[in-house]
Amino acid sequence: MNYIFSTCIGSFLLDENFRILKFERSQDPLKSNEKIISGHLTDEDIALLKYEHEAVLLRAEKLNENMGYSSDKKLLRKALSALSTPEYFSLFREASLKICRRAISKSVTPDLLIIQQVNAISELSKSANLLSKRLREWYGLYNPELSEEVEDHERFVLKVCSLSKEEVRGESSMGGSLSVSQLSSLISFAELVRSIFEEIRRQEAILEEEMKKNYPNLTAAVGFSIGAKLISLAGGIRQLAEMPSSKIQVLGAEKALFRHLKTGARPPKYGIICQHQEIISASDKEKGKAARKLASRAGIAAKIDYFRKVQNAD
Amino acid sequence: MQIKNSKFFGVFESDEKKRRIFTENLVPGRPVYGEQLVRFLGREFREWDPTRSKLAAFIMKGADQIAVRPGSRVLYLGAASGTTVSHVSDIVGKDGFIFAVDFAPRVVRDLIFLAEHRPNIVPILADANHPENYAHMVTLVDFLYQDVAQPNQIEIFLKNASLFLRDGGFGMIAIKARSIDVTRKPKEIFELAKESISKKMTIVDFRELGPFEKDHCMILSKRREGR
Repeated sequence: MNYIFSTCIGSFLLDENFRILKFERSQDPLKSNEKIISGHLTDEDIALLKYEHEAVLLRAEKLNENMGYSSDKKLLRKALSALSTPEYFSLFREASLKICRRAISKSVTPDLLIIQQVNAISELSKSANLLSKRLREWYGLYNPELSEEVEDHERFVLKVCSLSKEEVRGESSMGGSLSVSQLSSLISFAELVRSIFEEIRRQEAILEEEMKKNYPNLTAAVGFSIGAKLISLAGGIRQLAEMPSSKIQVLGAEKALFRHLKTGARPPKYGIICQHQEIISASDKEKGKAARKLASRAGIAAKIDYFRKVQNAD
Repeated sequence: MQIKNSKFFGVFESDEKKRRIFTENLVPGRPVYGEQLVRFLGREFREWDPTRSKLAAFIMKGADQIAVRPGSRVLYLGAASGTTVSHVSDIVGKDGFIFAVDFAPRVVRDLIFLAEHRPNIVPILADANHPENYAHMVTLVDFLYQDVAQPNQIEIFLKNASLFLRDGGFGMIAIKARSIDVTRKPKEIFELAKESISKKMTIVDFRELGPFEKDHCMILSKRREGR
């Protein structure tokens, strides 16, 4: 009995002692790989079958053709042993590099881009916060009254930039006097912080569009911002769609969750979804319940977006 | 400082007070992850950091043997960015080869860059949980190494060993107690792991990897002949 073993580098015709009788080399490893993975005959298999009709196909993967094949482990191991030589190894290497490059390029999906964007926004926000605090300290030497007056960082930075003239200071200001170059370096720093706030707004607008376009149901269920953060925490839309809603509920509260699992402390009620209006506005007693409902809605929406990709209004 | 052979083929050590281990760089002049390069008697060695590589930690913890040697054919599951893979690549050298499997496109990207400079590495983007998915991309091997953080990592190891490891070949698995069950004591998990592996393989060595890796252990086992 002879065997045909199909690989991404081509197909091997083996005798009953698993010596290689013929090697039909693949002209296109990408194509051979696709065929094997999808359970079909490769061109090389067909060529060998023409040459040797009686041969038994060996496949680890299921074969979806209308013909017999064997997945017997002992036979597969003998075939795998026959190929274990340096010559075939370099062919495997060449083929694998091609297959991997293609697969990686195909793996770039909208959710991966959204994850990067969400993380970029969150890092920009953190930076803006940090730099705003520095600006307050610095600007406080010049005009402390303004810092007292405006609490919101973004509005404060805008004020600093728009009121860059010395006249803005009141007669009784506690601020010291700065030289022109000292003041201009302060203002140029403020401009930078302002542009970070602008960038955050711009990125958020694009993120919202991307979310609505790619994941309309999830966006409708929890909003674009939380939706995007959920995708990011889950690691992708597929992971989110396959996640039980109890886990979605505590995404972003891993620290509290593992503390609960390890020490038996009280479990967290919610993770990132606590930023949703519905939970913020719920009474303390109802917060857990609201989180549970919202998480299950997010889960259903993610499933629809991932598996069906059709708009479903609510 | 002098560099001399260690008791393992392909692994070297310095004669300093604080023990450091090295592998001989297969691609001289090119570090892989920022490790130190040391030249000695015209040869170049890469420092092998036990806090970054569990196989190095296993050696530092006093391993009797590591089973992988120059010329070995290796199946490496959970290759990640290729830190340990690069040292295994140094050890097996020009006559050996490594099939390096990982599931995450992001890290296989780095693996491809590594493989471009190292002709003995084949990167494979596949899920180690489904060996049938890459049986057409690998061959039988002498040494199976696995470092995947999956709850069913032992099952994955045994599945792969039963299909790809030659009779009498060695399998090494780094077990992360945390990823099997966070709530149980690591020692209990290690015992269970040894028990389930010993049903199919013969356990040759077992070492906990602390303080280099917390709650990790390494189990070296041998595939029984004719099974």
